[in-house]
Amino acid sequence: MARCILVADDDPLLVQLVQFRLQHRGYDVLTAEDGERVMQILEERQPDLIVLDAMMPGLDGFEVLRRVKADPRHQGIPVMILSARKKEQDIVGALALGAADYLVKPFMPEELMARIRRILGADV
Amino acid sequence: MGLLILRRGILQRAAERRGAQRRVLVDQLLSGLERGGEVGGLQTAFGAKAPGLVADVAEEILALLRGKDKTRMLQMFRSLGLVELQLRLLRSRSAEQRAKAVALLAHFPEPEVIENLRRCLADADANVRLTAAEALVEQDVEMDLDLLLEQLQVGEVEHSLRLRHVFRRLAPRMSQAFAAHLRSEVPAAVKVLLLNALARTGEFGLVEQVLPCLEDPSVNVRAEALRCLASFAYPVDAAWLIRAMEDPAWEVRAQAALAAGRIGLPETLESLKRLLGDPAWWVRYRAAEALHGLGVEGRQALWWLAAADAEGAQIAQAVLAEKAQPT
Repeated sequence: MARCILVADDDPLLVQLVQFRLQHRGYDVLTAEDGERVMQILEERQPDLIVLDAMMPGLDGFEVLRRVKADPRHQGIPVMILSARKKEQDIVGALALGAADYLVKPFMPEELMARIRRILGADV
Repeated sequence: MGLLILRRGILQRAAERRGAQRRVLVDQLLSGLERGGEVGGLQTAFGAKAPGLVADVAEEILALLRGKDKTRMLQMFRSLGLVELQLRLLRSRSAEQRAKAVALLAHFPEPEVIENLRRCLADADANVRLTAAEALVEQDVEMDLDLLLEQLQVGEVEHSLRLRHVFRRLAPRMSQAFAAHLRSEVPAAVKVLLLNALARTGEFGLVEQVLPCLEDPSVNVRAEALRCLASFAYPVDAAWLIRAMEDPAWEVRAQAALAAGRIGLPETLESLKRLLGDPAWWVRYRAAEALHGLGVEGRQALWWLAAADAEGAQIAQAVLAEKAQPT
């Protein structure tokens, strides 16, 4: 069965880009445009990975990460943060909150794919 | 009323149509990228029909990509005739359109594009000129400093962050030219901009060329020169800073204290202690901070002042508390 990845970003173009790549690599992709939608989706589905933009309207990526890691039902889901913020405190802060990885935008799509493969430990 | 509703409906449908077209275009571009940069039927489907749409998508998608994918995507946009179209748009009557074209052309390093971008530095619109400068800097193009200063009207207009960014990007490769301008008869605003840019280079070899700016008649130049020295954090003759600490302008005295602390000049200790009684709060604060940064002797001076009923006790206490040092 294909692994499922939830991609959350308020930039529809970025979502489309990541979704396209992931689907071409055989992943199932769910998308969300903000943090609230991520939390709603998590009530219905358990993705294998969440790729989360740090800066989103409403609940931002860090807050979503905090909530995911605080909820015993979801805390096992690895979260990768995608962000234009490249300051040390942002990266270290996200990793300290439990993020599995942190990738700075703009990124090389192949790098994103490689990191996802590493987190999922799968060869899709 | 009916007409308004009809108009709204038409606009909404047009936006939906454009959104759908955009989604298809992005999907096709991404498919092309997957196939190694093939444009395929995209050219006929979009090249002629919706050039504006291709340009909009190009700008957004190029900002998201890096590396091999970006190179391929650029090649695809070339094949779609995007470069030629943007070059034509540089002659548009709309300054907004010209600026947009310039920003997009910044991604394409071909000589014809560079030549056109250079011409845009003489555009009638200030935003187009600045966007062209940003594009040329992005492409690491050599530029004549005098001409650039004149074309961007540095010294005549307020310095925006964008303008500062252009000069900061240029400074590492033009540091000697920047430093030479500090000695010439250029307006104070130009010197401030150049000093601000030089500060980011970390080229402490330029210290000797920056020091004479401490005697400039402009307060802004003197203060910016001290910020620059503070940023280099390279030892200079303490006499320069001690003199600056006696400057009539409080902005200069505050920056002199900051520089003394960043550079770590123990010879400035007595002058810094005197500045704790300065009438300007910022000067007192910077002096206390600098003393704290000057090692044991500086901190001891702060502790003594904080405990005594002396001038500067308040600011010494505040800075010690801020640095979590017991008084």
